[in-house]
This record gives sequence, structure tokens and C-alpha cells, in this order.
Amino acid sequence: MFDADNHHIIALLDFDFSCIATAADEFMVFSLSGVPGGKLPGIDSDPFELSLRAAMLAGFSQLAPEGLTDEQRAKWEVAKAWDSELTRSGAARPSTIPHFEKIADIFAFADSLSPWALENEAMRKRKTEAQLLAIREETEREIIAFLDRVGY
Amino acid sequence: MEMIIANLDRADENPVMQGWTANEVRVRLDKYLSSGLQQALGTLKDSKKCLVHSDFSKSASSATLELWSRSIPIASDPVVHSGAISNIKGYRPISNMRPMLTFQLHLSVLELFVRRR
Repeated sequence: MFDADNHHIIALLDFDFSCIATAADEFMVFSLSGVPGGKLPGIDSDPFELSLRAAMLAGFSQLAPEGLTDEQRAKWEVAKAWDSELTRSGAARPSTIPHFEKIADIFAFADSLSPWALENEAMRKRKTEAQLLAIREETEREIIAFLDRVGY
Repeated sequence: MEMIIANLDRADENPVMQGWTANEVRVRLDKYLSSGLQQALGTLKDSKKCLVHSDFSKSASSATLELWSRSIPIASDPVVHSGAISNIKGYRPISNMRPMLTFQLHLSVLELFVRRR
């Protein structure tokens, strides 16, 4: 989409999953899931991912945790750089989107009700019975953890 | 809400998920869906709509990761934050977009002329 008045490209349309949604969507699905800081790590992630999650939600106001591996430190730096670039360009960020954490939590919950690995027949065929049951159990555990958190 | 209902419907028909009926999970789910969720969604209603790119994932943009691994801040590419942008005025001109050409993205609509309100 090209803005004829200002000669700016203002959008990419018709690209795969592009759509009109909320800014929060960009940080919850797989828009930038391959880049650290692109997608908010889930609430049941490992400790490093959780610290990244906290930093994303707080706009990287905290220092990097102690004792990171080189890879983790690199991830942290990229995520932080990404966050500052978003700030510089005036874009929405997890720390500025109202209720983002809550939105992301509900979104993850909704997604867990029918995860792609179990939902898609082709995906299921690639897995053994035991693997499917393991995914099922893990997913059920996530759903229960969510219900516990919201008190139901 | 639609997404949750749709996913539950899929789970119902699914041989592995079986509607999450095991271990009383479904009973708890139904309770949450009929009251707690409505309440939670009510407070989130006012989210402003914007353009979301939604797929700069690993598979879609290995070049993004390549740039990343070379420590070039990918965030300097304005297009990368197209979807996250809530204030379009912050956008920079087309000349900054050149690096995007290496991303091999199929931009099927590029010159749709629009006038902003």
C-alpha cells in the first residue's frame, strides 16, 4: 500500500497472513517468532525466556540477567535492539500495548485448545502414537495451568 | 472468543484431543468460557486495529536471520515493523526499503494508491 500524498509505502498487503488486526497480534503469533524479542515467550518458558518475557513487557528497563551463555546474551541484545528500534520508530511494543500480557496469555490459551501439531492430520501422521500422547499431555498441562491461574 | 469456540470444536472432533474431556478439564473449560472469559475479554475490547504483517517467521525470512547473525540490526528495516506500527507517520520512505529486496518476499500488491483520512 502506497501513500500517494507522502510517497511512503505504508503497508504490505496480501502477504500470507497479513491482515487487519491489533498491534498485539504481531507479538503473539509467528510474525517474528524466529527473532529474539519478536514473540512474547510463554508464561511456562525456561528461566531465560521468562526474563526476556519480563523485559519485553517492561520495555527493557532492566539489566540483562547474570550468568547468561553467549548465545543467550546475543539473543538478549538482539531483543533489546529490536525493542529500541520499535521505540525509535514510534511503533507499538509489548510494553506500550494496553493489557498486552493478558491478551497474550488468553491468546496462548486459545491456541492451546487445538495446537497445530495435534490438529493437522499431516502433522499427526508424522508422529508416533507415543509422541502424540506426549504433546497431548503437555498441552493438557498448559490448559490446566491457565485455568489454575484464572481461578477456574 | 470465536477462535476459542472454533478450536474447541476442532478439539471435539480430534482423535487425540477428544475435546479435552479427560481429567475433568472440559468441565473447567466450559465454566471458564461461560463466565470468566467474557469478563476478561470485556476489558480488552478497546484494542485499536492496525495492519499486521504476521509472517516474518524463520521460514519466511531466513535472510532476516542472516542479517541478525551478522549483527546488523534488522530493526533498521522499516518494513519489518509494518504490522507493529500504530502510528504510520513514523514510517520512513521507500529508499530505506532496499534491503527488503533480498528477503525474497512476494509482494503482490505494492502500488495500491490510497489516500489516508
